[in-house]
Amino acid sequence: MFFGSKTPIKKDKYFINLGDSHAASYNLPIESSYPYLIAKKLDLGYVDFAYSRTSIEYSDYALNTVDFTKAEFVLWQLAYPWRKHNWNTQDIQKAREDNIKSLTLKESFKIFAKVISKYKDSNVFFIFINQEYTTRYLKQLVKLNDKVFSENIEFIDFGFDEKHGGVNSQKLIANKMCEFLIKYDKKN
Amino acid sequence: MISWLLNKYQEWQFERAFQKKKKELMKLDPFIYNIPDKNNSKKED
Repeated sequence: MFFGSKTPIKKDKYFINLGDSHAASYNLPIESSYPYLIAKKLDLGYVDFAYSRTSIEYSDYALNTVDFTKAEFVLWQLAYPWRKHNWNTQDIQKAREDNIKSLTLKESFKIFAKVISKYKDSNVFFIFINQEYTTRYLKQLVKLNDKVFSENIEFIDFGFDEKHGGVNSQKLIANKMCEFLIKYDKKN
Repeated sequence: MISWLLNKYQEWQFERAFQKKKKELMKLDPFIYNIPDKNNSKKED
């Protein structure tokens, strides 16, 4: 099951937004979401593949439905590593197969390391949101690929559901990522 | 020896935090999608 994409801001130069509900402006006006704020700050359009409750393998699949090298960059918020996507179902209610209930921290590192290494030579930037346990191995992940943002971003406020980042958190993420992208661009 | 022990202890602490977070989120996060509203699928859960 593939949920397709949206183009909230259409421009010749654009980036691709990937991730789960944290990247999908969950229950927020799209104008308050961090991908939208980044697009405005960098004067870019963006194509949005982010979708709530999806997995890393889903984002990987979605990214490869397009020629992502045409984008200025890809911004990939890594989903929780225990989620598994079901590609075979035609029923949207069954699209997410299950959680890997027995997953350990070490195994989560391997899942992240695999995808981060796969895109090492591509213009794909990775961020972690609301995953504080990744601080155990974030430095190792940055060593594998310097396009991994070196901190897990925690929320400073919440949306009405009390589970997702609010307006100020979106601003914080956008500011941090713009700074990171500009710094990376200057360095290279 | 002390640094080995310290490292093991930290590893245990992170593993515990990971399992706690996983349990919490799995509870909040049953794998059921709402049927997306074609006009505004950003709002689905």
